[in-house]
Amino acid sequence: MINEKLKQIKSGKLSAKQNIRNFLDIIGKKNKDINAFLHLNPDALADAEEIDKKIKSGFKGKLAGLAIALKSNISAIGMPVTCASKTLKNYTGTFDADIVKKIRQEGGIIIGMLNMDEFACGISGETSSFGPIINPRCPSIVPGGSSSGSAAAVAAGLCDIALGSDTGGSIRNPASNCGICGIKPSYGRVSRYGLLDLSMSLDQIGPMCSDVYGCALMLEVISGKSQKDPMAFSTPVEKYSKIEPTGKIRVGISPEAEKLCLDSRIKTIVEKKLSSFIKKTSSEKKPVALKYIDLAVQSYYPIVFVEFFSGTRKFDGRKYGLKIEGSCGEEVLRRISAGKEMSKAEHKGKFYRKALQVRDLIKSDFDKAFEKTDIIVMPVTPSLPQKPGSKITPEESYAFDALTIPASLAGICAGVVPAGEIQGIPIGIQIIAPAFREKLLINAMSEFSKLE
Amino acid sequence: MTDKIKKDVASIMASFMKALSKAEGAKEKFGSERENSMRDPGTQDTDKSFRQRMFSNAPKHRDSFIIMEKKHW
Repeated sequence: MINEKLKQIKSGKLSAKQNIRNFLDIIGKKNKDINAFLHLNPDALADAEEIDKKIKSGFKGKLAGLAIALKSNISAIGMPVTCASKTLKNYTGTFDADIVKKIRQEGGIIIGMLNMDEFACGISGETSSFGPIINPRCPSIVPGGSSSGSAAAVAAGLCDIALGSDTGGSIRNPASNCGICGIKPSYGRVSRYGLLDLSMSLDQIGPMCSDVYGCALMLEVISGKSQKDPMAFSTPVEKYSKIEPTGKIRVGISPEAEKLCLDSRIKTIVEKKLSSFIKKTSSEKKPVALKYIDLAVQSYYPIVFVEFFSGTRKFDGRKYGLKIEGSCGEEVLRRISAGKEMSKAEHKGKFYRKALQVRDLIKSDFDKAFEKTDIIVMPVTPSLPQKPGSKITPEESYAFDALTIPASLAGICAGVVPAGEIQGIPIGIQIIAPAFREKLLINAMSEFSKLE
Repeated sequence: MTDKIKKDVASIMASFMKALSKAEGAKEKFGSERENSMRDPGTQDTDKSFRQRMFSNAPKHRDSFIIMEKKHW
């Protein structure tokens, strides 16, 4: 547990250097079977020694001595920022992302860079140019994506906290598949400066950890306004790590979301967990209408394709690595091609603009729902994760995000905590809160995570 | 673009277009429609001396390339 470890480091029972050494040993033994890490920081032990000296001089950093791992689309000085792609295989970060600066300021030690779906284009953890990631909790299913390495590293005990990025479910989906906690913050809660974007109007960096406290603490550190990301809002950052009981709240259930969940066993697990929460907190369950949620996938992907096409024009083989179209994998090329097609004048008004209009409708659905409820609860995935190597069509894989995409389109916050298992496969529950109500979200996540 | 990817893209676009067209209540709330927002490259007059001036201003050039250290010109 992160809180316990921080106390041990603060009291001197465990040094930062020993913490890092322990993780490096475990990584040495386990990573070859999981493929979570692509690169280890050669200065991690030296950085830890520095933190130990600072702690002895009274340094009280919130993350002091903890081993933090980064998804490989987050820039850190001197570290390979490959996005798990051959396109950027030789690219080394020349600056720290805003969140990396904040992590270092609070004494967090960057232990390494994590594997992921190539350029965050994926839901399974199988599209990396450097080999697929294995789910350490349940190797017979995929770890989920695209923050596959982040989820796998946490689940396998290879780091204290991992950072991932979530555009349409890329933190929540792997958190559920690997049985850990993860948060997609509200759009604009966390600076995107230093994140190699998949879709600039949807991306958010978020924490992944084995417990809610670790996620809350990391979110508290990385949130806030940034001079370098004009979309990072100046909404005050609350003390997310001070987790409190929710008390009696109104919990929204969407019949439309229930219809999208195709596996009744997943629904049963979510319903059971919700019933326990309602009973424990004396909360109220209310139906909420999310009328346009069934169009979320068809609204989301045109936005992603067009923004991704735009965002990848810089990978032209001159300044950064190789020309992307000549070096990327199939899914990345598919998204670039689709974005290129959809942006053409002949398709004007049919895709991107239409998708933005539907996005507005979905956001409006959530705004109305949150007039009657405090949080909304739903499953994370519509069906069980697939087996590694399964042949599914692109449209089948996109449909896997049907329940995580809506919160992304609405720009609100959502988190996942473990809820149960089906034949050994971890199943998460998704809790959704209004924009910039991360404190409420975290309190609710904590409450759910403690239920039997 | 391989044939498979072309086929995938066409299929995805067809299915998305069909679904999005069913969205009732979708309204245009932003931007403004301009009839002539797209550039028609064929009708632009070009300055024929521009190329000559560019190369004469450049510190060094070879064939059609200007050779310069990044951020120094």
